Amino acid sequence: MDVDRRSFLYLAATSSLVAGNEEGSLPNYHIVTPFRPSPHPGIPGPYKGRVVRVHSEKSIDSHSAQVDRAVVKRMLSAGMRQLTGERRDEDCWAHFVSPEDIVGIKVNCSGAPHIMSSPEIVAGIVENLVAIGVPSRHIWIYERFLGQLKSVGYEKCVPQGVNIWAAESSSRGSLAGYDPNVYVEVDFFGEEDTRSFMVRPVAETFTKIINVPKMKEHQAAGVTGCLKNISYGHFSNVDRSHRFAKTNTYSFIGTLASVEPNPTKVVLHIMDGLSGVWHAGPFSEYPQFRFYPKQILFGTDPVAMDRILLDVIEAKRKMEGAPSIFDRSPSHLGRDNSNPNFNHFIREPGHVEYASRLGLGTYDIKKIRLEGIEL
Amino acid sequence: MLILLAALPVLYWQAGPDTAPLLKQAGITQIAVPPANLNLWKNVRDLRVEGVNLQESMQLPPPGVAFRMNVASASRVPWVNSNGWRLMRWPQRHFYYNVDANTAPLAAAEAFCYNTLAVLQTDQNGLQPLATMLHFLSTLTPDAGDPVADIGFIDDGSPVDAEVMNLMVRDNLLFRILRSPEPGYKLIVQVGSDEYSKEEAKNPDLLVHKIRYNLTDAKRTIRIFGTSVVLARVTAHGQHTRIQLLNYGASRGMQVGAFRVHILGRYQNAQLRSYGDETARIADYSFAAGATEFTVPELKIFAVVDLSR
Repeated sequence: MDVDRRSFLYLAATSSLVAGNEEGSLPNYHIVTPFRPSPHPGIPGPYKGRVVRVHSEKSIDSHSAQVDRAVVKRMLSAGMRQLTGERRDEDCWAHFVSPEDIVGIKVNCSGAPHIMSSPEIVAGIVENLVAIGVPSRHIWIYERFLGQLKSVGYEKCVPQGVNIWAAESSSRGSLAGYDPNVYVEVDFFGEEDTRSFMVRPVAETFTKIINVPKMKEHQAAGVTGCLKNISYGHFSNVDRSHRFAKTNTYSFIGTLASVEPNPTKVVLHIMDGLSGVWHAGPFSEYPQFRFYPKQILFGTDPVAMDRILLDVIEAKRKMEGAPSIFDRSPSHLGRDNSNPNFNHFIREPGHVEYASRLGLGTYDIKKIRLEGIEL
Repeated sequence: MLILLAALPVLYWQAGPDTAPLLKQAGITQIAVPPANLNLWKNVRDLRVEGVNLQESMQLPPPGVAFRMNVASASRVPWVNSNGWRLMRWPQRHFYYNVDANTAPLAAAEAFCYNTLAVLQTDQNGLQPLATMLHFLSTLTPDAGDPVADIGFIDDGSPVDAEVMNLMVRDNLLFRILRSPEPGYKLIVQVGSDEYSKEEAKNPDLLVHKIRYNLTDAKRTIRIFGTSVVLARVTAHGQHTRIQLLNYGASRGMQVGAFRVHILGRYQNAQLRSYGDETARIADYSFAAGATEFTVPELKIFAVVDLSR
């Protein structure tokens, strides 16, 4: 019995195959959540359409990938002050978090141990949270997969008591770390398991979330930044959206990101662009596709930040002579993505614009205020 | 073929009575032997022995999963090899498994789940795992319910129909085999009908997806989320419903983590009995849209959930 042939024929006979970036052919999403939208949501938050970029040549050594923690600390301070207009770091962080909060820090470790939310940035965030009175035991650094998370070793650079937690531990596939009452049900291609459940403490425990994505290209989504880190990074059973060259990432990312309490609780995005991946992401299997933008982005508008990310990745790929992430030519599809001319999927960078239409932020580059700081 | 002593699966053992201590040490209390050997065992105490002629039994392939990493596919889920359709197609037959230590407990549970008569041959390593499962099965209250079916499937006995049933079992699409259309089902399926043509059945996977879509997920008695290797069988009697859950990944030593069960109907009480974990309790019990949902925290090989309204 030929599994491949069967599945392909089934797909050819169903409308799911054509699901893509046209509104008329989007999958039918069924969102279940007991959480109601907040009148003052974290997304797009108080700084809609604003992105602060702090760049420092000294932040990371391009050869050794060694991060200078002192420089990163100054970058964090400068970025937060610019974003909030405050003069003291404590006042900056108090805009988003109070001592009573239980704070989740959503890191991205899918490219670990080489490319991940830098421990130096995460440590800096924790330091600032503790400084404004958040007990370390009320701070959680979390990811979906424990193996990836542990490979980074965040515990070595944060105070004792900070929780290091993953939704899926040693054996992937358990729903214990997910909330059964918050999920998105969708049938992409006739798969039997049609539910994606939200990471449990996002729904049940955290009162505020700080999103710390990494600056990366993504084979299916085009880029993986703020939106993807709180969508695919906050839900189970998501890789089913990219089983075929034509994926469902276009609408799935924004849909998941829009599920309450995501927009309510995610109050701040700090995108780690000290290093990044410009091809074959979100993993970092090939050293030749790592690069060093040496910057950190700050904001509350994940769409605006990802819009800037699109430009960063696109510029780097252009410099390397690689096809645009907006390229949809079948001639660039191929199994060997160690060659930057080939990719497993048709990328869907339009997912960022789609998310803007769900009310998650500003996509129009003319309406985005990018404020640069050089250290 | 003699009548098996109970509806529990039984170890089939060809060695002589000098191996009785080995069996007893493993916890085996009942065996089936070739009829020609029956007399040899008549003086052995503390073991119930009956004669079974394997030539009168249908041999079943070992249940389990196969990972086809070298085959590109729509889904990364493993290929589940279940005998469910065979056990349903031939309910009066006696069955025979030849299984190793990894598969013996799963095979025993599968036979029990479908309430069929089966003997299992295994090697010395398989004795204890099998005995442990048989003991667990013996502690379960007898299932007085009838199988619950959403689909009435008119089986013509063909290989095509066999494959359609195989795929329905794998997708937890509950069906009953009929000779002709009967009322009382949400969907009647007959390969060769206008709706399910023989041409379509050349691709059984496509046909089964069509069955699922025609039935609709909303009308399915049971759905399982969070695992692709657990198959369910549902029986009901009055206000009571029993869900039997089989982890086919157990053949590869895969323990299934927490997964979610959605069953139509509102049940006030639920009791989980899980092989290998007497302390296991269901979690996150809830009601939604005419259904009951709960999480099974883990599944080693086999579990039973008894629900009452």
